[in-house]
Amino acid sequence: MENELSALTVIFTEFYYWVCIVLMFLIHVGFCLYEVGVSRRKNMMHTLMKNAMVIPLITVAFFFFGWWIYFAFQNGPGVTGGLIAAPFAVPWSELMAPHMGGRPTQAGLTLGDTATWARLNGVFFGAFLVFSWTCASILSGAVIERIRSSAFWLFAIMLGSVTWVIDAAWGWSGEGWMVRLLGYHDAYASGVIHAVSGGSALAVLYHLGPRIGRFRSDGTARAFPPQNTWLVIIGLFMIYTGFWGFYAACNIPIIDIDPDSARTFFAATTIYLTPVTLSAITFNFLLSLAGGLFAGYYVSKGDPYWTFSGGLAGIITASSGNDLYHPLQALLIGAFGVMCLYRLHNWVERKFKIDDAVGAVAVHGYAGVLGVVIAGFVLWGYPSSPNPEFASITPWGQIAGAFIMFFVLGFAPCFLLGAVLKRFDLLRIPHAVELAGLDHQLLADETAASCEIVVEELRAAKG
Amino acid sequence: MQTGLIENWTENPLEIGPMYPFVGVEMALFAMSFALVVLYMLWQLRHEARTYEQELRTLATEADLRATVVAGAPHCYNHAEPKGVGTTIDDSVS
Repeated sequence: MENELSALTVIFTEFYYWVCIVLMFLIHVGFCLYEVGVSRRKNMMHTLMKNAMVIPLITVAFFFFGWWIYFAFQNGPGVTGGLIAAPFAVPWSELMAPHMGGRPTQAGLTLGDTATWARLNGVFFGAFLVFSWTCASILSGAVIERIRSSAFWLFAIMLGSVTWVIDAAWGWSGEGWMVRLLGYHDAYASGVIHAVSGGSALAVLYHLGPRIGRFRSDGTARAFPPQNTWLVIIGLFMIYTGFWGFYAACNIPIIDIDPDSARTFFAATTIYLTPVTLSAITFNFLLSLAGGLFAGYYVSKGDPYWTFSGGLAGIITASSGNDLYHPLQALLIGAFGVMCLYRLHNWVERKFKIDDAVGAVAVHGYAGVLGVVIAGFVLWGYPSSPNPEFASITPWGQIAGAFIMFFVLGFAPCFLLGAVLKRFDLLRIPHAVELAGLDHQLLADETAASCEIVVEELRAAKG
Repeated sequence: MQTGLIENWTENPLEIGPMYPFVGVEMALFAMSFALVVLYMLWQLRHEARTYEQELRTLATEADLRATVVAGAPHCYNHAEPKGVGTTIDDSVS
C-alpha cells in the first residue's frame, strides 16, 4: 500500500470485518442452543447435528457459487443489465486465496481488482457467509423434530447460497436493481435476511405439516413446552450478542463519502454507501430491542420465550431503517412490530395448523416484512443511494421489495423444492421414528451399555 | 412526500445535520414514549396484583399451601408425590 493512510484504512477495514465475523459466529451458537432447548429430549442430538452441518455445507456452497452470485446478479440479470463480471469471486480466482495485491497472473483480473480484494475478499466473504448460516438457521428452528436432515440441507443450501444471495445482490448492494428502480432500503436486513428466511420457513412448514400430536383432534394446539428453557434463553442472549457483529458488518467502516474530489470526508456508510454512524445504530439497536422486549412481555403476559423472542423481533422490525430512525422511533416501531406479529402468529397457527416450533416465521418473516414496509412510510422521500439517478425511498417501493423478499425469493423456491421432495417421500421422517424420537437408537445404546456395565459389576461382585 | 431533511447524499457532508425523519417532533416522541412506559408500568402493577389475588385464592388454606410447596419441589422430600391435602411437611419427610 502506497501510504500510511491507505494502509490504515484498508487494514482497519480488514480487521473490522474479521472481528464482526467472530461476533456473528455467536448467532449460530445461539441458534443451536435455542433449537436444542426447544426440541424434546428424544430429538436433541438430531436437532443439533442438523443445524451444525449447515456450517460446512453452506461454507462450501457459498465458496463455490454464492459469493460470485452476489456480484454477478446485481442487474437481475435482465432487469437493469446483464450478468456482471466478477473474476475475483469465482472459486478458482487467485484472489480467493492468499494474495499480496500485486500484479495478477489470471486473465480478467486487473491491478485495481488485486489492490481492492487481496485483503478484503476473505473477510467480506466471511461476513456474508455467516449471514448465510443465519438464514439457514432461521429455517432450521421452524422445522425441527420431523424433517429429514438431507431435505433440510437442500433447503439450507438453496436459501443460504442462492436465494438470499440473489436478494442481497438485488436489494442490499450499492448497484442492485431494486435499489436503483424501487429505491429499496433495508440497511440492517429486515427483508434481505429475515423476511426471505421467514417466507422460506412458511413454505417448508406448509409441505412438512405439524409434528405428531401438535394439534388435537378438535383442532386446538397442544403446547410442546421447551425441554430446557435455560438453553433457549441463553441461546437468544447469544443471538442478541451476535447481532452487534451483524449490525456492524452491515456497514462499511471507513470510506471517503465527499462527492467533491477536492475534499475528503471519511465516514462509515451502509451497504448502499449512504453515511451512517456506529453511534446512531447503537442507539437504535438498543431502543428497538427495548421496544420488542416491552411488547413481547406485554402481549405474552410475561412468557419468557415470547419476551426474549420479542426483543429479537423488535430489532428485526426496526432494522430496515435503523441507520436513519430516531431512537424513540426505533423503540415504537420495534414494539408495534411485536404486537402485530404475535397476534398474526397465533392466528396463522390456529387457522392453517402451521406448526412453527420456534416462531421463526413470525419473529423473522412477519417482523422482516413489517420492518421493510414501515421504513417505506417513515423514510418516505429519502434518497436510497448517493447516486442521484436512483429512485428514492417510497412505501410502494418497500411494499414491492417486501413481497419480493418474502414471497418471490423466500416462499416460492422453497414451496417448489418442498413439493418435489414430498412427492418422492424425501421430506419427512417415518411416522414410527417420529413417535420413538430421532435419537431413540442413541438412547437405547446408552441404556444397553449402562445395563451391560451393571450386570458385569454385579457378576464381578459375586465372584 | 419528504419525511426528512435529506434530499440527496451528494451535498457537502459537513452541511448534513440531523438525519432522522420528522425533525422537530422529538419532544412529542419523548412524551409519547414516556407515556407508553408509564402505561406499561401501570399495566404491570395491575396485572401482577390480579395474578397474586388469584394465587392467594388457590393458596387460601395452610393445607393448600403445603400441598403446593410439596408438589412443586418433590425432590426436597422423601416422597415424589404429596400425600394429599392436609399432609404436613413433617409427614412427607418421614
